[in-house]
Amino acid sequence: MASAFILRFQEPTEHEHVHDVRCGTQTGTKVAAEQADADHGRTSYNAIRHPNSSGAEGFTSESRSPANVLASIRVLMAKTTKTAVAAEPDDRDPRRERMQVIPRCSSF
Amino acid sequence: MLLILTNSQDATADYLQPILIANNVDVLRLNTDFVLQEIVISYTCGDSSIRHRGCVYRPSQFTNIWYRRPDRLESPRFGDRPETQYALNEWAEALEGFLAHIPTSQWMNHPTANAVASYKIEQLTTARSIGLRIPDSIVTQDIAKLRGFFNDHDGRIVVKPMSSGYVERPKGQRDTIIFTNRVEPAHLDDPSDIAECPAFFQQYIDKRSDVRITFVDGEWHAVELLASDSDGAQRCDIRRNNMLDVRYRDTEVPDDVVEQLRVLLQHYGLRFGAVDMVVDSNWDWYFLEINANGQWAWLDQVGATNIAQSFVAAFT
Repeated sequence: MASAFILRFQEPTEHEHVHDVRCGTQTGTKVAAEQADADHGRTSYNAIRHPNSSGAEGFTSESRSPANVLASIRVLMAKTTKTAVAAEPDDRDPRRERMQVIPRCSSF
Repeated sequence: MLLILTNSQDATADYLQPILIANNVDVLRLNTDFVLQEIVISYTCGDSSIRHRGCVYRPSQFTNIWYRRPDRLESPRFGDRPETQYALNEWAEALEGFLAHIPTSQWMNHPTANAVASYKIEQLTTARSIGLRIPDSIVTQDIAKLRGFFNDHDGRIVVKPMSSGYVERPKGQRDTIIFTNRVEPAHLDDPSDIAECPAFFQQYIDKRSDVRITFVDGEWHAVELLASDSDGAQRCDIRRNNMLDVRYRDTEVPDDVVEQLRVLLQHYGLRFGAVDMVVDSNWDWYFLEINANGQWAWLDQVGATNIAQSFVAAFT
């Protein structure tokens, strides 16, 4: 199985889910409870969707978008007719990368 | 009025909120893990509002948004079924629709600005173009290139993550973390995983100290962070050991560096930014990265800064 050079340097944390503050908050030590600098909730401007991004939109993947599920069904049913118009997804770009304030749910 | 957008477990917001209130800043805090139980959203032909605990708020009332760490919306009332995700996404759209009425200049920071500023290697490109000194840096999948870089720097290079540095594992298992590490000759013996995934390498800086510079609107706070590795040198990654043995002290930042950092923040449209720099033995300042939504409260709490007062000034 492929790995990555950087992963050679991983070390166990002291706690489970160190950046998930819900595991260890409300102590008096706000320092320890502060979340990491990296904003795990960042959701916009992912030009390439991160496979397991916690901020992935509900319709992150085009293949999961209802419009595209519909499109793929249509293509299967009419694959030799080249009816591109009928197979077009709707106007909503499932990969739109605009202001996303609230991370979307990702589980299906 | 200030709108704080975060989650209920945000210790930084917990720290600042009472200070803001004590300084007569009107605050509405929305925690995205509970907000669905607390607000009702309404829109009628140009009139957007939210009702929160009996009070109605319109976008024009919010002079600032402090965008902290909103998390995914949660609500038990929709149950656990496929339609739940859809309903929550409708909620998110409605809430964002309300928030979108508030000009981006009133956000600290706007999430799109945070996102644009969040790529380490692009930050280096931009910082360098502004005139900041950066460590010699490569991202490569090529072992020959890595070996060349290693030799060019007399074997003194580090490897660091480009993303968060955390590997999340299933419940019951410890997550793993990746710090900045020195690359040793033995690491180059087996090149198989180099080709599999891009890796980020920088020249090792013989550090005198690490410096964290926190910008809040026009104000900035610089703190020197000092800690030693076992060989007595400044710690390769200051975050090790939970920073328990780090010593903090005020430091002066050269005027030209401050000015360049201001330009950097302006470039990204950031009102807030936490910049990591290092100072080498020749007193040269190297830019490492900017954290657009970085942490700062710990510096106040160890007595190194009073960044909270800069937030008060920004939100007053």
